[in-house]
Order: sequence, then C-alpha cells, then structure tokens
Amino acid sequence: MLDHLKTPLAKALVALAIAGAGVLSASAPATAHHAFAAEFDADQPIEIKGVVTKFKLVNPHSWLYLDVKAADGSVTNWGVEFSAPNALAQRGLSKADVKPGDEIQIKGYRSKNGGPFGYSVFATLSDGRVIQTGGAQDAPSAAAAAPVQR
Amino acid sequence: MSLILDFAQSLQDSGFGTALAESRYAFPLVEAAHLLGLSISVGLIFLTDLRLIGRFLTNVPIPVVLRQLRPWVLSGFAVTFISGVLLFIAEGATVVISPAFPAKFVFIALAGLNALYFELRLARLAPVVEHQAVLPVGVRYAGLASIGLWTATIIAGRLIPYLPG
Repeated sequence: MLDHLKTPLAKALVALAIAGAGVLSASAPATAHHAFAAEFDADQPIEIKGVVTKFKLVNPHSWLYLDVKAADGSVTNWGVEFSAPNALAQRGLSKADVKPGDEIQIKGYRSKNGGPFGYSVFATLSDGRVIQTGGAQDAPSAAAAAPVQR
Repeated sequence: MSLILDFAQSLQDSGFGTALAESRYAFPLVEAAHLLGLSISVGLIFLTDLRLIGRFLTNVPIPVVLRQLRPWVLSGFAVTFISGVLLFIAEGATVVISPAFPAKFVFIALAGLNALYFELRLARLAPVVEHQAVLPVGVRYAGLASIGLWTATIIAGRLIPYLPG
C-alpha cells in the first residue's frame, strides 16, 4: 500500500485530495453556503434603523432590505443577511413579523465590498422584540453586537 | 445569459419554487439528497476509474466491475440530478450569475462525453472484454480524465456561492 504512494499518480491523487480538503474546509461553517468572513467585515460593526422595503425569507440565507435615512435627508436602501428560515423560525421570527413599511433596527457588520450591505446579528422589530438573526460560527460573538434596547 | 437568468427567476417565483426556498426542512433535506447521490455516484465512479488505472480490484475483469457498479452509479446520479433540479428551481436565479455555475456544467458535459467514449469504444475492445494483462493505454487515460473531471465538477459546484457574479 505504501509503495503505491510513491507513484506519480498516487502523488497527484494525494495532492488533489489535500486541495479538495482545503476547499471543503473553507466552506464548513454553520450557514453551509459561505463563511461570514468571506463576505462580511468583523471590524466594521454597523447599526442602522429604517423602514422595511422587502423581506426574503429564503434558503440558504434570508435577506432584509430597508430604507435608511441619513442626517442630510438622503435615503439609501440597505440589504442585510439573515439566517435560514428554520433558524429564524426557531427564534420566533415568521414572514408575517416583518412587512414592508415596518420600522426595524439592525445591529451587525458591514460587507467587505463597501456597498450598502451587511450581516445582521440582531434585529429590533417594530413590536419591540429583539431577534437574533445571525449566528454563523465564524461571525463575531453575539455579545460584541449586543442590541441597544432589550 | 439573461435568458437563463429570466428563466431561473420565473422558476424561483413559481409557487413551488417559493415554497421550497422558504421551507424550514425541505430545502436542507434536498441539499442532503444532492450530497448523498453525489457520494454514491462519484464515489463509485472513482472506484471504477481506479480499476481502469490498475490500482484497485485488478483481479476482477473490468466488464464485471462495470456491470455490477453501473446501476448504483446511475441511481446515485439520478438522485443527484433530480435534487439538483429542485435546488435550481428554489435558488436558480442566485446561482446562475456565478461564473462557477457554467464551469460546473462544462465539466459535467466533458465527464459525460468521456464516459460515453469509454463505454461505447474502449470497453468493447477485445483486451478489455477478455481481461487481458495488457490493456490499451486509452483505458488508463479515460480513468484519469474521469477522476480529474468529476473532481473539477465538485470544486466548481462548491465555488458557486464564493464566486458571485
């Protein structure tokens, strides 16, 4: 068996296996589809408040879009990533809880691409409930993004 | 490309597509089926390829290996294909924009052509059918090509969410 490892083919297969393992391990976090670190920046915490324009409660990641008004009156539509439908349902969030026109406050982290996108860790709904919306294994601890109002 | 995107979007917006995309358990279970079918089909294809290369079950004639594994390979592929179609219905519009998506299908097509050429030509040559000691060199190349192409398919598939369009 060990003799086989010395042939060029076996060496190529071993190299392939190592490369494959690298690719797979890079994609292992709880969200299963991509790592927090692949898209979002732990050094850029964000806290935004606005009005819901769209809520897509879909696999593998949900997305919430909200209009955020700046101090100068300009409005920017932000998109923030939420967990998968099942994870949100376990925390008591259903499609009916977030409707266009609702006020919502998001605490999380901004995307690395610099656009108006982010990863939502906590959402404060219009009824005052605070829902943990993100829990990727490599995301910064929930405590670091603890919500303002409880 | 926008035609494919429009098509994918209409599938995603259909009642079934939306229900699957918004489901709590159905979507992850379809993902599990995709991986299960993949492990069976590609896993057995790799064992077949190792036989063609002369690294596995060399005392068993190639036609016997092919005949015994073929139904399992095809069944696994069917599970992977059907679950893949379901996943496409649920999230197609978000995956077609990745350059890794067309790349994955190029690799699948090449792997399929390689398998067809092997089955229709190489597997019917006398040295293979008669389990001779020396086999045409093409048999070995077909095995190597299959391992490379299926590996590339899986890597491309896994890269889809990491290479956004």
